[in-house]
Amino acid sequence: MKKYIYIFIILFFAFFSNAQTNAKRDKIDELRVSFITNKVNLTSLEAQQFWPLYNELNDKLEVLKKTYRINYIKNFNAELLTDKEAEALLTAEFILKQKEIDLNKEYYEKYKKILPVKKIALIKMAENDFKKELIKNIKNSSPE
Amino acid sequence: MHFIKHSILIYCVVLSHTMLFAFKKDTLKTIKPPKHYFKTTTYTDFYSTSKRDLVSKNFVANKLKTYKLNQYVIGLSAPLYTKDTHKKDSTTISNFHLLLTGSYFVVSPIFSGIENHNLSKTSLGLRMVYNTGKKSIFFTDISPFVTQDNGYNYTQRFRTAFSFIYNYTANENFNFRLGVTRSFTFGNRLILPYIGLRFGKLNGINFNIQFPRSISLNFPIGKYLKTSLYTKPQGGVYSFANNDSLYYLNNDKTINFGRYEYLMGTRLDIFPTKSIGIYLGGGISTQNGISMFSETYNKRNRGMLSHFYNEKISGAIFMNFGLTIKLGKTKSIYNNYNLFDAIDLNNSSEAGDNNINTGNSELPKINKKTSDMKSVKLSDIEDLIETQDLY
Repeated sequence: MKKYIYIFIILFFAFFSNAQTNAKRDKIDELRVSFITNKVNLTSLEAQQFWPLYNELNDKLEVLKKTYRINYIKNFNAELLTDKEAEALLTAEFILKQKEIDLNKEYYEKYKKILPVKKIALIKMAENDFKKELIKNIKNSSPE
Repeated sequence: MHFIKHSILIYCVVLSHTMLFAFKKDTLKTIKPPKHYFKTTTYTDFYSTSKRDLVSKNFVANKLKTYKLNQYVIGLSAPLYTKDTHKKDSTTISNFHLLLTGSYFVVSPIFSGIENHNLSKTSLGLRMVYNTGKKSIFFTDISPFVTQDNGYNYTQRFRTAFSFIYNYTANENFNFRLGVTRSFTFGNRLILPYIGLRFGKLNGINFNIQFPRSISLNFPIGKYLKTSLYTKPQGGVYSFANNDSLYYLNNDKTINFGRYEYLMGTRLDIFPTKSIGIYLGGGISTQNGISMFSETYNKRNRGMLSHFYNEKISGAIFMNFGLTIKLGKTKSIYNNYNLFDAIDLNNSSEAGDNNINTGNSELPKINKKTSDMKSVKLSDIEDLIETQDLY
């Protein structure tokens, strides 16, 4: 019985720390979505069609960035970087940016079918404002 | 003791499975996107009432004397398959979800006049959810289960509970549900209409009527707490060994024990993270009733079971405690109110027809305060910012 309790406690804490990592991403996503929702007035029909697409795009972008980070940023040491590795790193970054642009274009075409272009622009501006707001908060909270 | 051992073992297996995947992910060159919208959910629930006298003047009541009830359940709901379909114009995403459900449930009616019986229900079922991507969701749950009086293998009986529900989400503040459910919750075998109405946001303050499951008024308190006032029926029909000769006609070795009660109480849900839900409930269990049914007498009966003993019992205080762990990374569902309702349907339709609500901890919280941004650290947003953003 004791054996089971020890295993359970160890796994519970391991699980809890893993859950914390996911919680960070959830917190930012929740803040961003709330920020956009408050800034852009979507009708019930628009919201019903827009948010599933928006979520889908962001999930795809997240996978792209995570793949890049794990394969290149985490694996390469800046001090010991060889020319070959440096080239691979830069090429991967260009590929990442290109894929991001392609995805954003693809979803822009989808958004155009359900939202007026002005609202799409407002959403993009709200995303940028959110970013600025975050940076402002971090700047204010960090020690001089 | 066996129940606790099994519960811990199941949690360990599920958690280690998740951890293995978490470690594996770090060494992979490609990141697989999440496949499902539903998290794998494990839950455990404990419910107990106080002791009451059986006052009717008949052979069975005289023999049973008093009644008290304890029940435990451990269960699982896991997504097996999810298919997103984009409509022709690629603007509407409909999705189909197939989930596996299972539960092990033990109810211990404690009668002071006879020896204790531990009546179990083991269920393994399937659940299908189809979200049209517009306003409709079709929900089907089929929960076959085996009920037996533990220690008496000859009492094993196979039964099925099911629900077919149509959900219409008019907007984030209102939905209705219509359907049909085959349930044993009222202490008998019944086919009932399902009628549901919700006013208010699922992740906000709402008033929720879900006949025959529950009526509740829910108030979130900040991001981590939710309190509810609710009333709901609870019960079932379980195989019961007739070793105390409660039924002396027809030489039945197995009889059926039916019980139901209406709970009126309050519940506090605590969500320390989206993956963990803890709830504590308490209140009054009213309109209690127990029945005994002869198997032989009901052999040709396809409708409601006819009892040989039935008694209304006075109310009692009850307490309820539950722990829910939701595992795995899922696709985003922000502001996707159809999927909020699909998740609510899944969480409120517990496997095995035990009418236990595991709580909606995974629903995104309403976050209107920009002050919450202050808790975000630079390391949390390194992916979001470009160097130029800092100018």
